[in-house]
Amino acid sequence: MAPEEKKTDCTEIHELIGAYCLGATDPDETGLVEAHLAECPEAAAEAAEYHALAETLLFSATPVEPPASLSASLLAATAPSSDAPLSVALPVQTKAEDTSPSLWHRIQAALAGLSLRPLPVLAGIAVVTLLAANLYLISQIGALQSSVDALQSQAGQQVAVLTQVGEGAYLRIGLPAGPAGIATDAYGALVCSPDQPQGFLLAENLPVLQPGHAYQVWLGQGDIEISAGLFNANAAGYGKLVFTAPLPMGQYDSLLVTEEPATGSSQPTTPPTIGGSIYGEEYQS
Amino acid sequence: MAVPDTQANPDAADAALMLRITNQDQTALMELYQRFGSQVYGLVLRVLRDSQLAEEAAQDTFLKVWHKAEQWDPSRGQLSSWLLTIARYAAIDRLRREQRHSSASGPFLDSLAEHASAPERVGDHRWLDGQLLRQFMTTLPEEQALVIELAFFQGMTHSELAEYLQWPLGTVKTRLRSGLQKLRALWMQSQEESAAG
Repeated sequence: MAPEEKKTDCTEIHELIGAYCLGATDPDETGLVEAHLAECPEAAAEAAEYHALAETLLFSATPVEPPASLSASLLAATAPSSDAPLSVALPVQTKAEDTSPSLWHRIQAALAGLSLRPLPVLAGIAVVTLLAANLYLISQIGALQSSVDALQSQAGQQVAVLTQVGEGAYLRIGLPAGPAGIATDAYGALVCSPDQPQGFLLAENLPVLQPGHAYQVWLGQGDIEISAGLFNANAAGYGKLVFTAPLPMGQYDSLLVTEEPATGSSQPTTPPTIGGSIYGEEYQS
Repeated sequence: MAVPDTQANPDAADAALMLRITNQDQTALMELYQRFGSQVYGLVLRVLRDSQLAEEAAQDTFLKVWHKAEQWDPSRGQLSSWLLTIARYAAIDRLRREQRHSSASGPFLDSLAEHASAPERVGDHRWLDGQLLRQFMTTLPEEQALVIELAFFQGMTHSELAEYLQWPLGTVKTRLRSGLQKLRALWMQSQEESAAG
């Protein structure tokens, strides 16, 4: 290829770099650009700028609060019980649906083709009934197993907190009520260890919330507040939450509890019902 | 994924969160959802223009993170960028499966102008950069902004753009290239001013 011709090709390919970084090149163009990028540092540098531009475009969409049903369906899809029982129960149910008519047809065929023999027929019906009962029991066991798994996970967190308390190094701090007028007699206590991410929050005299609302726990770290989880108070105003924070609890300087929608919020939207400082507290040992 | 050093690295909280998701900690996934749910949903809604499909695409996004959390490599990009890239592809995949392309001409550009002056809603600097880019988009000729929008947010290639817009292929390529060059120039200028000031 003559140098002039090669230069023209190079320019043409170069002009596709922006579209390539946006994902807008057709397959044949994509191949040409990728080959060119591999051997042209100038083009690779330009591509890096367009990639950064494309990445920033991702953030140009206006954030929109998703519908509440999204978090609910996510929770359902990722619940510990959602995988195991499904894989056990579905084939069983399918088998039950497929098998019973087939056996029944075979019994009918036997009755039609042979002389009436009541005992074998009754035995066949009994077999079908027992089979169906067994399949139902197996599916129930699968569902119970998933519940046990969820309880074991919850118990694991609680044991971790109790172990901290048992080993001595833990913090027990009072969490008084928030601004006057919210709930002056509400009170909370947090049990945690500075080196561990688990925490156990107990709260009393909390106002009972309307349906669709829950208490959300926030851990403060400077100006940032992250959610530690949601809980509800019972009719007596008593509520508790065992949580695992992203960092050891010694990294946080405050804990707040606010009233939020039952699906949770991305940041506190109401004044704290209870809350207090963790930073500077003396850990017991 | 290596266990993060949460004290030495400011992004270590993200790494710790992703490690928990890799270990199938459901509360960690919901923390991720609380932090980025509105950004993910806003992005997929912009692609799909349908709340039902957007909800499905947003769910696809978080479920992919749930099942493939170990694929995030902190050395190759921020968690928010990785998550939004997954969301964009999830939405475009769903759009292609639905065999439809949402209308993106006049109404889109109107909403672009309207949102360009929206107050700051998120303190994250990446989001602020994104809003700046959105503002720059409103300064482009309408047909150039339109091809960029369709290419990026609806995943259309040159030939698909030509067919959809009923423009000659060469016109599509020229308008997309010119629009991107202008956007890049404005963007680079703002970055330099920001670095200087």
